[in-house]
Amino acid sequence: MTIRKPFIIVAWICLFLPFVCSAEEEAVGIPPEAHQEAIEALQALGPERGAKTIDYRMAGIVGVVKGIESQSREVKSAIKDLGAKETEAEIQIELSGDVLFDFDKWDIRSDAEAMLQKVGDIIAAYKSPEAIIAGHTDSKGEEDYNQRLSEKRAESVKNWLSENAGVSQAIMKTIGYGEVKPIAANVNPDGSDNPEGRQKNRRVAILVKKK
Amino acid sequence: MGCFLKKAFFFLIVTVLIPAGVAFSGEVMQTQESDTWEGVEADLTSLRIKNNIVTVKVKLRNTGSDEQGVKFCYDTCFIMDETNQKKYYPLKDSDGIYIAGPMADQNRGGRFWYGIKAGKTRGLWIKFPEPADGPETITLSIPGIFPFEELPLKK
Repeated sequence: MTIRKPFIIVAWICLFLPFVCSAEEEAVGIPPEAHQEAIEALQALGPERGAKTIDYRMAGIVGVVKGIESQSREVKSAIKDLGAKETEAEIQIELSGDVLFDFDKWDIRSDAEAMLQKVGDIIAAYKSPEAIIAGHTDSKGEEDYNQRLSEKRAESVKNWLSENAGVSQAIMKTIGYGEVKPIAANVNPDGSDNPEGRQKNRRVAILVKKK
Repeated sequence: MGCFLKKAFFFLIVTVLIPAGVAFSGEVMQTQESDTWEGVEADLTSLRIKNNIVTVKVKLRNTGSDEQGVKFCYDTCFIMDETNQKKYYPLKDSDGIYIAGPMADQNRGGRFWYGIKAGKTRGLWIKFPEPADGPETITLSIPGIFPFEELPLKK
C-alpha cells in the first residue's frame, strides 16, 4: 500500500498547525512566575478580593455599558443641558410647557424630543426606581380646564418616554396640578397680566429618584 | 485493503487533526472596537480561571492604515461583576506593580504604551482576582476599548 505525497503533506500541516498557532499565542508572553505572584497577591487581599462597589453615578449606565466613562459624561452633560438640580437622592428637571407643547395642546412637539430623550437617558443611567411627572399650567382660563390640561400633558410626557426612550411605564407616575402650584406670579402687583410669570408656570416637572 | 487505509486516513484528518488545529488556532471569544484608536480592534483570545485568579489575554489588531500609539495604565483596567455590582482591579505584586504585561514602564503600577503599525497586532495579558460572589458572567473593561460583556466564567 502506498499513500500519495499530497496526503502526507496535508497530514504534516494538520499535525503542526496546533504548534504553530499556540506559538503565536505564546507571543503574549506570560512569565512563568506571574501566576505564583498572583496567588500571593490574591491571598493578601482577603476574602473580599479587593472588590469595589460599583458607583452607578460614575460607572453604571443602562444595561449596555458601552464606553462607561463617556456615557457618564454624557449624562452629566444632559443634566447640565436641562438645567436640572441634582441632590444625593434625586434629580429635579423642569421643562418649559411652551417648548414641549403648542398652545392649548398636549401632543409633544417634535423639536422637544431631543430634550425628552435626555430625560430618558438620565432615568436609564440612574436605573431610577421612580420618576414622578407633574404637569402645571398658568392661571389663564378655567381652573377645571387647566387641571385636565396639566394631567394630559403629564400623561403625554410619560407616554413619550415609554414609547421612545424605553422608560418602563411601571416606574412613572403622573400628576396634574393645574394652576395651583405656580413658581412665579401670574399677575403683577397692580393686577395686570404678567406674561413672563405665566410662561414660567406652564411647565412639566420631572422628579427622578435615584436608586 | 489499500482503499480502506485511504478512507481511514481521510477520516483521521477530517475528524481529529483538522478540528485540533482549529481548536489551537487562537480562538477569539469576543471582539470589540476601540473608541480611541482609529482602526484598532481587540480580540479577547483567552479567559481562564485557576486558583481563583482570572487570566485574560487580549490581542490588539490595527486594521487601519496608520500606526496607532496605544497607551493606558493597567490601574484603569478592571473586571466587573454586574450581578453583584462589584468591580475588581488587576492583582499587584509585592512591589505594587500590576501582574500584567507587557509594560512600557512602571508608572502608576505599569503602563501599556506601544505603537501598533497598520496591519500589525500586539498582545497583552492581565491577572485579576476571581469575583468573590461567583457570578456566571463578567465584563472586562480596558480603557479605549468598548467593554467585553457577558463573558462566561468557567473553571
